[in-house]
Amino acid sequence: MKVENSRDKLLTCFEVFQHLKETKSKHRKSIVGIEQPMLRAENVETIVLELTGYLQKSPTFNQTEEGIVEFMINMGKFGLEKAELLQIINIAPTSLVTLFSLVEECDQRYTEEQTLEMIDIIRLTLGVKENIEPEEDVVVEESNN
Amino acid sequence: MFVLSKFSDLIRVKPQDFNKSTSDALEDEINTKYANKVVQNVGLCICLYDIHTIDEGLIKPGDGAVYIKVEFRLIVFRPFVGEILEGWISSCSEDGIRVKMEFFDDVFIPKEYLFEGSVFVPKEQAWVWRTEDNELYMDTNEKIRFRIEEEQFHDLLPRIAPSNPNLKPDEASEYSANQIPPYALIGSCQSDGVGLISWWE
Repeated sequence: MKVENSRDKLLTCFEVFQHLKETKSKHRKSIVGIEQPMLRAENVETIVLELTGYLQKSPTFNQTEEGIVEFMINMGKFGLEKAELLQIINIAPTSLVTLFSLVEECDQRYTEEQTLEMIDIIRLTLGVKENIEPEEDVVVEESNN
Repeated sequence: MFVLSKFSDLIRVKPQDFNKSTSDALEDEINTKYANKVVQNVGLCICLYDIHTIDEGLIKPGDGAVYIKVEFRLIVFRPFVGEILEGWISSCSEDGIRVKMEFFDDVFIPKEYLFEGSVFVPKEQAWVWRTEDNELYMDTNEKIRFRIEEEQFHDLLPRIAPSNPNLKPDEASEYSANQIPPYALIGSCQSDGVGLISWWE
């Protein structure tokens, strides 16, 4: 075994989730031509099951490819770093304080209008669940004062 | 949280797998070899992502299997230092908080990395963050957000099965539980926005 490059590319949770879903439903054609579900070793099934369980509880579960593309297009104007965008997609913060923890020196780099606009973009594109919205508004109001 | 890591390896395909297509057989072998395993200084391997190149197969005298040199990429769990992750508190102790992430349970937040003013309440077995006008509990099974401070890789020797056959099953499991994890993460909860998710929303 040789590690050619331990960090070839960064992946979002969404991409990992998509990949897991694809491999799960994959059917194989044997040489005889019969299609059958793929049989995998126990360790593969364990990690796939556990990771799918984890990702299903995260915002990743509600995200779509179109949503993420739209998010990237809309966020382009802010000039955020790659790692920051990656974390925003993975966590999908809906409160300012969470966004501030993901973006370095957010209060110096961006004005309040800009950060609020970011939150709006996140809400619209990253599959944020609706039921936590009322609480969010309180947080936004508090930070406005 | 996840990265793609590029590997090259000589994969042995067993004769009973010759009925599969080469790429399918390789996929199975690679997954069996790497999935849910920690590679030193790389991270926790999840599964195969794609195969780049497949060389000609080689055979060895006295072995029915075929050896194929393959270049492939794996999905690897390797959060970078400074990244914010989410998990659940699995236990609290005097030393700090242990966090589980379902597929990865070796995350520890030592007490030095908790919010200033946090104290451990032995009666409740929980950490409490005492602010000026509030007491915030960090109970088990609460969802917690934390920042990665440090990653630790331990090169472990192959696990030797307990040689004493009279060892009771629970003693044997204790034996394996005491092993240091090959890959552990040290987290922190010290800045705004991290800590229990319910605090900030």
